[in-house]
Order: sequence, then structure tokens, then C-alpha cells
Amino acid sequence: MRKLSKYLLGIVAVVAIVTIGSFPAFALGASPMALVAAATTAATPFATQVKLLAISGSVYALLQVVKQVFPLAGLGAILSNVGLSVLGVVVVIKPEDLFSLNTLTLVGIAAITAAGAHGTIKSFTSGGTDLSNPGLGANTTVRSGVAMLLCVALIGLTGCSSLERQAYNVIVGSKAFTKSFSDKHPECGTRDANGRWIADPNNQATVCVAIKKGIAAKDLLIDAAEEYCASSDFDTGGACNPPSSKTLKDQLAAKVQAAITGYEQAETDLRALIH
Amino acid sequence: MEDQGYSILIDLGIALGKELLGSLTKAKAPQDVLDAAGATVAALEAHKNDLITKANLEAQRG
Repeated sequence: MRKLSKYLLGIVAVVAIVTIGSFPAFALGASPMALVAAATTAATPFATQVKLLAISGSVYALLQVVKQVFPLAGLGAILSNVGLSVLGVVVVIKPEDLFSLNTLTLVGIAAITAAGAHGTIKSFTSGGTDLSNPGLGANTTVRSGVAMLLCVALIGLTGCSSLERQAYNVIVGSKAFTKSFSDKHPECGTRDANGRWIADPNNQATVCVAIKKGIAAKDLLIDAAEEYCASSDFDTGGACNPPSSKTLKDQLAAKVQAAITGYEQAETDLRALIH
Repeated sequence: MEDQGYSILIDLGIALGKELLGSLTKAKAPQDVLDAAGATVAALEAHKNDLITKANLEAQRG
């Protein structure tokens, strides 16, 4: 019960951090509902929010490396976290937008999120119990679940340059994930000479069906990405070239986003089978 | 500008993935979890500089 309270406290802390972090935008006259609606209907939904999370997460990882060399802890660690996050936002802002209210808001949110993330993750890592104790299997599963979620989120977070790059990172990560998982279940099928999965049609076990769905969802994402990138150059071996027409680009981008969502659901089903 | 930002972010993101993987290993997570997470991070690192071409996309099928 005490462990559950700690995880609930962590969730409440994250919600509080996001709410506090949104105050600068609200103070500038933005409506919370309008911001959410605009982010949802954008060509790349929640792109800015994802970018901010990526910066905060990346800075946290960087600090872990720095802390191996320098005795960085307490207030020093938090200040370094905030400083690096602010720098991270400034680096990815376009030069013409550097001195603007929008940048100020982004920098403020990144700083607050970074400071909060440090404390929240620290509470996760120091508040746990001895995982080597076999009597704590359920807790191990929860921790593994949290870590897996972060790993899978990493695929999307690191791909915030463009939609095609984001889709490609999800595809590469999902191929590795489904291959690793399916290789542990030879009863569900085999791989041909090209490494493609051939499912055993006679085995309808839950795990086999989940593997089949995961791989099918990934291949659907590949179809959507190829449609988004299609051009005479791309079809003859060139790089991805999204359509220049905004309407067409938005329509195809929506298909890619839907395919990513479809894969995420299939992967959630697969992850539920890992214990 | 965007490419530079992407390059920095993906490198730091992979570092985060490795950090998480280390934590999972120390926490004695199930082998399935370790393998799947390790394979995902390794693949992301191996393909981070790939040009997005039809051949590279097709190679990820199945």
C-alpha cells in the first residue's frame, strides 16, 4: 500500500509540474483548451511538447554521466539540470525566433520540468525495495513496466526532427523489439532467409497472435511511411521526399500518425505478455 | 539547424536508453525485458544516421 502511494505521489507530482509549467503560457493570455486543441490538430500533434520532454529526458541522462565524474548532487544537480535544459531549448529554436515570447515560455517550461523531473525520478530510484527479493515479483513487474515504457517512449522522443524520421525510428525500434520477442517463441513461427517472420497458421496461442499483430502493425507503418515519402526520386532509391502540397501532406501525415498509434497499441499488448 | 538539433537529441536519447538499460540490469529485471530493451536501443543507435530510403524501409519488414 505504501509503495502504491509512492507511485501515486509520483504521478501527482508530474501533473503538478506540467500544470505549473503551463502558467507562463496562461499568463500570456493563452487558453488551456485552445492550446490543447491546437496541439492536437497540428500536422505533427504535440510536436513542441514532445520536443520539451525529449530535452528534459536527455539532460537527465547527460547529468547521470556527468555525475560519474564530478561529485554533483542536491541543489547543484538541480541547477545544472535546469541550466542544460534551457540551453537545450535555445539550441533547437530557430535563430529568427530566439528573442520572442514563445521562446521565453518554452525556456520557462523546460526549466521547471527539468527541475521536477530530477526530483521525480530520484524518488522512483530511491523509494523502491530490494528487487532481488523473489517475494516482490509484482513490484519488479511494475518497475520493469515503467522502464520499458520509457524505453519505448524513447523511440518516439528521439525522433522529433521530422515526421518521416520519427516514423523511421519507430519502425527500426519496433523491428528490433518484435524480432527479439518472436525469437523467444519459435513455436509461433520462423524467419526466412531475409529475416522476415513467417507465422505458423496453426498456432493461435495468445502470444503468437500478439506477435503476428505487432509485426503486421509495423509493416502497416512502413506502408504509410512509403506513401508519405513517395516521389519519383524516392521510388528510384532517393531519400524521403514528402509532398509539397500542404493538404496532401497533412492527409498522408495523419495516416502515418494513425499507423504509429496502431503499432503502439499492438506493442502494448505484446509488453503485457512480458513478466 | 533542425538536423543538428536532431543529432544532439538522438545521441542524448540513446544515452538515456543505455542508462535505463543499466538500471534494469542492476534491478535484475526479467531476461525478456532486458533483451527487448537492449535490442531496441542497439537498433536505434545502429540506424540513427540512415538515409530514409525505400530500400532501408523495406529492410525493416517482417
